[in-house]
Amino acid sequence: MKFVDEFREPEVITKTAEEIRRLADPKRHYRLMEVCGGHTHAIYRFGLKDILPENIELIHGPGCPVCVLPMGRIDDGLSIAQNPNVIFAAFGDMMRVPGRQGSPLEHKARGMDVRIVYSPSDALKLARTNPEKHVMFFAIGFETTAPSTALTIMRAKSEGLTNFSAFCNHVTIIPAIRAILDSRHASGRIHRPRPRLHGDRMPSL
Amino acid sequence: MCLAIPGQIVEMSSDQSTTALIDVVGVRRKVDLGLLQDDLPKPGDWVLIHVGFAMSKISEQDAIDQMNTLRALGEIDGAMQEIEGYGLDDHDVDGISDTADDYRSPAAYKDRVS
Repeated sequence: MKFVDEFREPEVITKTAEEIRRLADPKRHYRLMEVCGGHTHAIYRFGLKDILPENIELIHGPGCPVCVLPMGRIDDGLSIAQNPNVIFAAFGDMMRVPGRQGSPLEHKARGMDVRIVYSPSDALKLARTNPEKHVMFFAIGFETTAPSTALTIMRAKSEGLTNFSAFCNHVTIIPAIRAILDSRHASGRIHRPRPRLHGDRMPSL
Repeated sequence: MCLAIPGQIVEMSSDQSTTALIDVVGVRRKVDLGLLQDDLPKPGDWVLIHVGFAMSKISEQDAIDQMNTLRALGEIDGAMQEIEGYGLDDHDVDGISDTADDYRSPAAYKDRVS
């Protein structure tokens, strides 16, 4: 059963915890920040917070592009897709993200043409196979995902496809990390020294 | 969408030079190599795949390590679901395997890639 099996891997967890305790210098206090909710989820799923030594503090980071997407962006995308000639194509991660009138999945239930794609290439394929429709790819992701969207747009242009658009919601992580590292007002305290992060857990991509 | 998945190039596509058939523990899908066009990988090479595009070339050991990491984090099902999802309904490539149960076994994966 999904997740239950992972909960029942005490030897993996115990070994990992022992390794962390071995590596952590007891004279130091470590502050580690995870960037996105997926990491937060993994930390809680495996109970890592409770088995870490007390001198390791976990700090929740700025969030991933899906977590921090302003509701207005999803509203705008869904508003465009209200046109019956538009196909709303997005990664599965977006399907349950709520807009003011509901999520893409709820809009699909109400009749909107919403398609899950695993690659921007597949959104482009939708445009090729549905020439009478306009495919709007709801593009989202960090720096690592943006090049795939860009290359897909280049492909659409080189093929002369005019029924494909990318609604760009890509974000970059470097400015967010820089702002955190430069902040002198962390935790709402004025004149507090900048947060001392000793490491971060960046997204796998 | 947040996963980086290792795969091995089986063959280059005959119709599009920047597309290749890639094997991820028995599941084969077409992946775009366009982002690596300055140093195109060749059959047998390992790459890291993200949203249907090869992002970088990696070593075989890195591929095994990455797959083990995905497994340890409980993300292997998500990774295989993503791989199986590439290509929409275009799953008519030869040698396709829809029974990828062995991907859950680290030993089986190691046997397969060694």
